[in-house]
Amino acid sequence: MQISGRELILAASAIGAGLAMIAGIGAGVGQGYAAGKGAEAVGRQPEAGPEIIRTMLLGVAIAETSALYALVVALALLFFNPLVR
Amino acid sequence: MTGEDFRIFGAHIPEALVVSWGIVLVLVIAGTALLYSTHQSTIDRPRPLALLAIMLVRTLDQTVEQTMGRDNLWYAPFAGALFAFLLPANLTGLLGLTPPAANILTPVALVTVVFVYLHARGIRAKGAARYLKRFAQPMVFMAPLNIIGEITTPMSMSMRLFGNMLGGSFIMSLLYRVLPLGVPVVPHLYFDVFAGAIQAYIFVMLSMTFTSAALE
Repeated sequence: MQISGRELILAASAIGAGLAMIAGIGAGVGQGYAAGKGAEAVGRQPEAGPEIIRTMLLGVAIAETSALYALVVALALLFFNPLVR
Repeated sequence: MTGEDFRIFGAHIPEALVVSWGIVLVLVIAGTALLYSTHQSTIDRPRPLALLAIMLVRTLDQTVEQTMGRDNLWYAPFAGALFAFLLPANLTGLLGLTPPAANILTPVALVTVVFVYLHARGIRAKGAARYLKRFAQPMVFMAPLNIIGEITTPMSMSMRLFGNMLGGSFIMSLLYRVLPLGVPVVPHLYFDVFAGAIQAYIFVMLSMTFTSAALE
């Protein structure tokens, strides 16, 4: 069976997309840590609940950026691959 | 996945643009109805829609005041407009449409508006020279790094909205191929209702935070 250069690039892109999503580990651990700390803070000071949740959501959203970059890279490799034209 | 293009008189119109126009049309009609009933109602006989309008404006003002402080209440109409567009826009996945934010054009346009407004207000509040001096903090040779930071902030903000909505609509389209009829309702609750509302809220909160930080 012959494997053309294009097919090789496609296969490597699929593996690369999977590898790119490993970045999700970092965001998952970080967001879980932030959410845990937020829950702790609400438990300690329930009257400051809305303020704590707002601050936590903002921090969690910023921590998510790295995972989203990975997602965009993975989707680009799978669907609008710049290497195959 | 990012929506198909409509062809109108030979021009390519992205689906995101058509859906956005629809949302803007609905918002204009709803806003006109709220405004009309507010003008019609009196203190003795308030109309239900007028009370709803008052409640919305008060909630918005309180949120902006808590986030940006009393001096920055002028931002409330802009933040409200952003949220009023983004919330229905992120919920359009429920109608089987692609959310407009799943096309990179929509988040980039919104972020451009937010940051042009931010810099314009900053220059107006402090004067161009004092505003530009902010980039030379703490030392002059740090200016390139500060400018890069100023460019990557809007980029990451648009990527956040784009990535979340694209990822959600992509996973939903995958699930529709696998799951039997009726079951995708449950993931819709998470990917469209929960994630969409949270992303709309976070986008508006972040634009408020960056604006009040730039004006300090």
